Amino acid sequence: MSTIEKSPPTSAAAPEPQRPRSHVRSALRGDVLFAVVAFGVAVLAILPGRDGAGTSISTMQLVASMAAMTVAAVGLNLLVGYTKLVSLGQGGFYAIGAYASAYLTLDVGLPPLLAILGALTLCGAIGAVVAVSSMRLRGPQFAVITLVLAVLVERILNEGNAFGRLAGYPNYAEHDTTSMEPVSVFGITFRPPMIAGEVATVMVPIVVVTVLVLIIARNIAKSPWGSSLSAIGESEMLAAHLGVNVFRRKISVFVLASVLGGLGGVIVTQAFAHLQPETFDIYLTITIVLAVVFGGSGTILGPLVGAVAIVWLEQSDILAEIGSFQQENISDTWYLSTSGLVGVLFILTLFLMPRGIVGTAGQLLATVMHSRAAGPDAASAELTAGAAADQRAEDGAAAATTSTGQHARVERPPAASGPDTAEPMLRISGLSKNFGGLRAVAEMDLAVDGGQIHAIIGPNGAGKSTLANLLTGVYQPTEGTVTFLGRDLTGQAPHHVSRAGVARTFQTPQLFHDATVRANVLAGFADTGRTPLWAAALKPPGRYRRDAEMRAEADRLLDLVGLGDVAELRASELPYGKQRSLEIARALAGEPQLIVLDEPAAGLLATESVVLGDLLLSLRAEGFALVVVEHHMDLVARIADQVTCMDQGRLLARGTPSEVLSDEAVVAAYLGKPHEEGTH
Amino acid sequence: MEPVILGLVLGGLYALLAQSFVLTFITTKTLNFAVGEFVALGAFATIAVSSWSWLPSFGRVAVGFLAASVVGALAYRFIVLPFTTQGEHDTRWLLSTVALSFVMLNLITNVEGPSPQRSGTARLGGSVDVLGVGVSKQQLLLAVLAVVISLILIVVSQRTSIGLVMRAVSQDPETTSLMGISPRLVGMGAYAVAMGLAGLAGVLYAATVGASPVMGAPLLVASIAVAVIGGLGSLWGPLLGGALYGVLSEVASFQYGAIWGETAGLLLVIAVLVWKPEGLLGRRMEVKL
Amino acid sequence: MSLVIDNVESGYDRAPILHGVSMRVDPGELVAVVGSNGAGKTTLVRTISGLLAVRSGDVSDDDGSLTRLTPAKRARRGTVMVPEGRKLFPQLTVGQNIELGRRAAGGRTGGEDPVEALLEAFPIVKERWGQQANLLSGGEQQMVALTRAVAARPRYLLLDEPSLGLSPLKTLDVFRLIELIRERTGAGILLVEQMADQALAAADRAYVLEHGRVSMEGPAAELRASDEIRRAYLGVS
Repeated sequence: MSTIEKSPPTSAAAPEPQRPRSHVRSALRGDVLFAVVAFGVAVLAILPGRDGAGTSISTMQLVASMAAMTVAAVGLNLLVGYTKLVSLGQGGFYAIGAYASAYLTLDVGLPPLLAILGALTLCGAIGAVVAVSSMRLRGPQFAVITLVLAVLVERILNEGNAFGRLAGYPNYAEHDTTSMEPVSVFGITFRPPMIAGEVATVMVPIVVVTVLVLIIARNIAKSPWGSSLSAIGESEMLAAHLGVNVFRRKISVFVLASVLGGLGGVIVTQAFAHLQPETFDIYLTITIVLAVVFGGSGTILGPLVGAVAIVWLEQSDILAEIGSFQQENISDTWYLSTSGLVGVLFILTLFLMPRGIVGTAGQLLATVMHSRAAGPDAASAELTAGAAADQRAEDGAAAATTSTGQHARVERPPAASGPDTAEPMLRISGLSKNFGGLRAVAEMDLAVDGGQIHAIIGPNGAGKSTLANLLTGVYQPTEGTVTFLGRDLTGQAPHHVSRAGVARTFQTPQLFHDATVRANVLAGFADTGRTPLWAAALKPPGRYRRDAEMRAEADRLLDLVGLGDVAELRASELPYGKQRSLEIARALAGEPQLIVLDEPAAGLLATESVVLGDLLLSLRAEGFALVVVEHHMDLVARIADQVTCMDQGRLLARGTPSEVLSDEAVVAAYLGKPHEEGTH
Repeated sequence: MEPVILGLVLGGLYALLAQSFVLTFITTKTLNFAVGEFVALGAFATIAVSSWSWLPSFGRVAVGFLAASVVGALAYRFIVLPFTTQGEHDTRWLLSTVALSFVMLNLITNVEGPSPQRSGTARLGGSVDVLGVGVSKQQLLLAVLAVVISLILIVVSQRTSIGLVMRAVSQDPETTSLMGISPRLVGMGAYAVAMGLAGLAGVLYAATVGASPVMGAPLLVASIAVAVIGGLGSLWGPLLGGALYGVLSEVASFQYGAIWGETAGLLLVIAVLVWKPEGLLGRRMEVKL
Repeated sequence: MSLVIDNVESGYDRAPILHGVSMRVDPGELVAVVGSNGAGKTTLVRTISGLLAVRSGDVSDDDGSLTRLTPAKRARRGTVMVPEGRKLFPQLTVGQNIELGRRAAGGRTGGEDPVEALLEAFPIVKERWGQQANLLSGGEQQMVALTRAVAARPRYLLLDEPSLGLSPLKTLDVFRLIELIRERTGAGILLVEQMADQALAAADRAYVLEHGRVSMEGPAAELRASDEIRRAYLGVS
């Protein structure tokens, strides 16, 4: 990470350090508060069982079930809620975790902790295999592969003799007992809630583990690693352009989800000491999905709320009573009992509450807060709107005292290639692309330097978008080379191109519509692709500092593009023109040297177009190289240094805007040849 | 040889159900995960009218088909269609059809009770000799029906105007609407036929194993597997997939035991998805410029 | 008795594209809508055909408002669109494509079959009758797409950039076909084009679309001769 020396070494030294530190403080406050509250709730949950009273046994078992389901749901949420990969296989990993940990302890004889570790590793390994094999799949095919896994596991458990089949595991026939021995560590025995009078000590590690999982998941969700998941969920192409190695990231998240699923199963084994295969059927895997969706997919507390709600619903009498109610009042045969009501609940959730409980509540809260315009957000310890404004005033003051003026950007590394010769920043040579028989781009050349705006125009079908896609690695060229800063980028994947310093905006803004404006910009930092999982999960002090730096820089970029006052708004609430600017801010966050803009003025009003032009001109002044594919000729005429006109995939004309726009061949390409010249 | 023949025949039932998946996927790009419950629905509907002696056996079978058909069309309109509006990556219909299967299973269980019921309709008792192997007539009937229906579907899709409409919708629903054809109605029609087929399979299957609410569940995964192996975009797919899946399962089961039989089939699905995600007979979707 | 677009606003998601566009097509006339890309031409056609919802304003034909009708219903009522890029059904034959077009004709039967006239004048379509549509060249596909639309016996025909991807020579053929369609069917044709010159040469009246608004309208010949067109596309130069 190259940004530690961001602040210029000037008189700004005094106010500067305050900025990141207060962000760090508030983030730390939020994290500690969350942890404290979570542990507090956990303590409350197991309090009833503190004296081992017989009446508390069922409550403790309920809590244990909720804990197990929560852990599995948290894992599934990462897949379904963030990465938008619908997996129907979490129940399978749950079962593997449960049975493998039991089997490794009882039949293989491993010490219990090692057995648990072994079981989790097994889940991870299987998860990796499934992920690699389903890399290219999305939607229904991906769901099918995960469903197949869950069914396979269920079959094996139901019919594998080693697992006791219907007698359960462990069972009398093979183990002379139907319960597993409780685990003992350092002399403490962790007993399950089974016998009246015995304190169910296993509840403590169970809830501790659950809380830790929630904390870690929260860390991940709020980190750049989490952003990368949302990016993949939004569009894999977008994620690649943000520097994310999509292939590896998908495998990682799947492995993580599998391990968490397995951990849920381990909790079940420890809490109940006995396993019956019927518990681990398709209904289970669906229930975990429902917990995620009902609680709120893509939220942090959603899996917890959903798991608690679903487990409680299933165990309590409510659903049974609704069933009886129907039997008495509607019909004694045509009624829905528990599983049917759960199904109805699922469908109703999809219709009425697609964001789940937590998501819908969050939305309501946000609407209420915005209509009040100010006021502290009590739920999180984040800065209030007022404090945020103060913060920005500080930032502004600090920035204003830097020596290089309002667009201070001193950290740009000089062109990595050789000395400052005539070699341009970007050079394209003889680039061609064939799609089957169609030659979309033919032998295009292009040279762009820092501090230049090069516009690419041409009628529909001329190959402009294809050229842009070739530049950022979406397509592999059939011939030709792309050289950037002396490096050969020809045929490199988009995430490599992005990491090399090329950013891009898209024809329709690809934003996280439900995230804040600031969160969108944060996704643009190289950290999205580069932050390792362990750092995201465990949040060492360096992470706090980096988060604060990123946040400050994001705010600066937002000010730059004129979005400084809407950092807290949801991206979907912005007017179109501002969404464009947001995309540009995000592109800048990755510290590119070249930005490719694909029809940035599309859909903009005339006034917004002017503002866009101003922004692009100021970027040019800072030394960026800009390649702009455009149709709006007034914008092109105003900002472009060089214009390339393409027609039928080839270079038609090149020169200054006035030269090209008055070139007869260009006019003919756009308007069509006059009739007189049309005869053969 | 025996497991091969048995496998081919067994594959027939799966192929019939796989055909219903293919039909809906081709026209609407969705699948109905509740198909197992439509199997049960067809079986129970036929049993419900089995006491109507004035209705010939054929008519009772038709009732089973129609019951599943009507409910299927409604299911598409209200449970699937609303959850396909968010574009290509919208997979909510996956979840809603799974939920539907819960609801239907529960309802059927409460109405009919969990125990299997005998069904005498459309029952062919006994066995017949195929290439030296004794095969139950009912199973053979199912297999033959699967082939016949596949052929009918293929002929209809290639040579009739309804089939033309269906193929148009599957290639480009938006442009089809510009031709005055409602893709929604076509979808409902496809679901009606597809679920009707499931119901029909249920009627015939129940004649051997009896009708129970859970009779469809074990068929679900196998028939999805067969559909995927053959290729969700091809009406020939289920025949090939059914044959491969059936034979592989039977042979593995024969050699290594029942559990390996089922596992082998599922492993085949995974293998096909990894190697050729569009299925053995499917066509890879062209990347548009 | 015309196709009326009255003060229509529409767009995508948060992007408003058309800001109060009004125009009219009478039966038998050929109206061109020209403008550079991003002006909103395709948005306009998609809105009239019903693929895009109207945010305010109205679209109506001889029998009344179309605004609440699905695209399929509009086609059956006689407002038929030929989409950008032709959009033939790739795996179906030419004949099958045209057959599908007939379905929208509904009750509008009787009299001369307009398709016959087209096939006679442009035998290439007949020659390719049994071929799979995606094997045809761009120009041939455009002929088929137009024939398919005519098979629906349209009262009003919407053509979205028929010259797209075609060489100038092919474009001429296509425009000849459009002229023939106008003659034989008496339909009102709304021709949306980027190739302004040919479109204006063929049309009776024209509108120029800029930034989602009608910036000019009038007799096509006048607009074609003026410098304003060039400015609308390429700016002041």
